[in-house]
Parts: sequence; C-alpha cells; structure tokens
Amino acid sequence: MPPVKPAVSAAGTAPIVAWWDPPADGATNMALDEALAFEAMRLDRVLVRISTWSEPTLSLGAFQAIGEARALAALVGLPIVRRPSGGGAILHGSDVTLSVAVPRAHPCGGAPQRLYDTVHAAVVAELAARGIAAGLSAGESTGARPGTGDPTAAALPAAGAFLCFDRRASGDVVVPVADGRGNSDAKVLGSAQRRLRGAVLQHGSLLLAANQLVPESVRHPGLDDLQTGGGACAGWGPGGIDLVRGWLTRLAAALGEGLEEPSGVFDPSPLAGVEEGMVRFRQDSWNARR
Amino acid sequence: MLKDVRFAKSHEWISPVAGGVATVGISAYAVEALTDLVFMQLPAVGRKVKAGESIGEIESVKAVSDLYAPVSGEIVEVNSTLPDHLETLGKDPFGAGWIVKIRPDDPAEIDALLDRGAYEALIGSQPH
Repeated sequence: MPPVKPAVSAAGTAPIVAWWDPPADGATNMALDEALAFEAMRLDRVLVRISTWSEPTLSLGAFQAIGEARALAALVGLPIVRRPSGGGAILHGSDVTLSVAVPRAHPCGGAPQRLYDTVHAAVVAELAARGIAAGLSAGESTGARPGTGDPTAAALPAAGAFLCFDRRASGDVVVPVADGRGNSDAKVLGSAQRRLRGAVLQHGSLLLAANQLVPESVRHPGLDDLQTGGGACAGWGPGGIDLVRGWLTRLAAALGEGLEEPSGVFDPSPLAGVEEGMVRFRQDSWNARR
Repeated sequence: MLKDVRFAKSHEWISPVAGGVATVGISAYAVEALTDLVFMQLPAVGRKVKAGESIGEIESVKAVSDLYAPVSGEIVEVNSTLPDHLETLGKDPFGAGWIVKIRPDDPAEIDALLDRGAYEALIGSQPH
C-alpha cells in the first residue's frame, strides 16, 4: 500500500481514502477495522474499508450474550466473532461491510447520529438513482421474530431483537416492502459504532441478497429479493460493486473534498496492532466475554 | 459542587479529592450525545489504572464508547447499581450517576484537567 499522507488541512477537508479489500475471516476483518480507526486518528483522515467475508460468519454486537449466539451459531453451523462495535448480530455471507473511520475532530465525529445519517443518506441517494425507493427508518424497533417453530427461531432470545436486521433504529436504511418477518419494511443497511478517544469506527452491513446459507427463520430479504422496480445488484458481483462505488462517490462528496483509492489492500502501520487484534478476535476472552 | 469539578477532554468528570478519594462520572453532554443507553460495564474494584486508560464501556442503541480514567490511581468503589438503572446517568450525571471512585496516585493530576469554563468552551467547539 503506498503510504497515505496525514491531512494537511483542517479535519474534514482532505479527501477520504478507501480500500477494497479481499474476503477475510471474522477475526481478520475485525482486526483490520479496528486498525482503520487507529489510522484515521493517526492520519487525521476519513478512511473507508469495503470488505466481504471469506466464510459465512455470525458477528455479535460488542455486548450481546454469547450463550444465545452459540445456540444460534450451532444450529446454523457458523463461526462467531464479536465486533468492537455495538448493535445486533449479523449473519454475514450475502452482505458487504462498509467500515468508515472518522477522526473525532471531524464534523461527523461528534454525536453518533450525524455519521450514521451521512453514511446512510449516501446509500439512499445511490439506491434512488437506481430506481430503488429506499428511505431512513423512523426508528421504531418492532422486536419481530419468526414464529415458525423452527429450532433456529427457538434459539433466539424472547425479546426477538437479537439480529440486526430484525431491529429498526433511527436512520436505518429500509425499503418499503414487507420483509415477511412482521415488519412493514425491509431493512437493507444497519450500522453501529465504536467510539474511541481519537476516532469513531462505524460498521455498516449492506444486505445485497438473502443469505441462502442460513435457515429461513433467520433469513432476511436483501436488495436482490425486494420488488424494487429494477436496479437489483445481483449480489457481490459487478452490480454490487458498482452500487458500492456509487455510494462511495456520494459519501466522499458529503464528507470531504474528494476520494483517494490507493492500489493494494489496506495495510496499516504496525502501530495499529493488527497482529495483536487478529489473535484477540479469535480468543474466547474476547468473543465470550459476556 | 459542580464548580469544583474538573473534566477530561474525553468527557469524564472528576470531583476534588476528599478523604483521599475522588468521584468520577461522565458529563451531561456526553450522556446526551450518546442517547438511549442500553448497557454499561464497570471496572473491578482494586484495579490500578493509568490516566487515559479505558476503565469501562457504555453502549447506546448505535454505539459503544469507552470510559477513560481521568487520572492514575486505584479504583476503590464502583456504582454497582448504575448498570441496572442507566436512566440515572441522564437524570443526575453529576450526582447519583457517578460511576467510580478512585484513589489518585497524584491529586495534582486533577488540577491539570479542564475546569468548567474550559470544558464548556471545548464542547461548544465540538461537532454536533
């Protein structure tokens, strides 16, 4: 990776920097995302990492209970990783992860909602340009859960909001089509943050298609499954990449003065602690900490 | 009491030392910015911490934030009822919403933190 230079002007006025990384396992993705936040702080730049998962994985929010996750993961046969960010569990495999790290001094580094809305509004605008009528959720959490009698449904906690895509937080990107899970809309993008002293890391999961590798009781419709009047992205292929590229361009316009896309993968400074992170995110001391 | 409180740039407040111990919490500004708190993890009593070290975490609907020790010292008490009553942080962040009590290694570290006026200037300049 060619070295990325620190911002030379006030935070928020330098181009954002984005990397398109190859698929990786959960621990690697989490370690790299944590390093992204460190580098955003060190360089005083907005950094973006676009990534997918080399194997279907259940990622947990920072404080979700491991017992419930293990019950579900065993039934669906997936490995588990705990994210440093909050929010609900995600069954990765048909989504793309949009990781955005912002210095705390940046205009979007203050109250959580501003970054959330900025990132999500760029997705809504890009979907609109493709004829997909998405919008931002008002944030009413339904707690909906499948009632099928399927053992995977029984593994979910009674509150039913264990999975990110069953939740509705203010600003989630939704498409006004019933999701078949008791909601009047379908959530296609949810995000959660880890707020560190010098930077904010926001993880977003954009659901491109329903995850066919998990039982129907825990499966959510993605962009390809919704009757949106055209513009389906056909998963993480050229269509999905083009969609994310459109989002990235809009995000760059909203956040900075341009976009840099260095050749190669995100390769942070040794100071960012990726090696240590890759070990930690594989250990029970992290993944089963609650 | 509020006029004597000092603040870290990471939004923790700390009281003057009384009986060798100072009380630590997070500011009303920080509580309001986080919105809808759902979970809190406190440090163990007896833990030695350095200024700036994470001593706990707090989760809201959208975000997880670290709580940082404003000064070096030993955690001598935690507000163990707080995680079950997170609304207290919003209602009374400088009173019943205290988070930990710490025995500072060097009470002079407190004096080096922001006074109320400087903290209000800081949050006034921060992005919303």
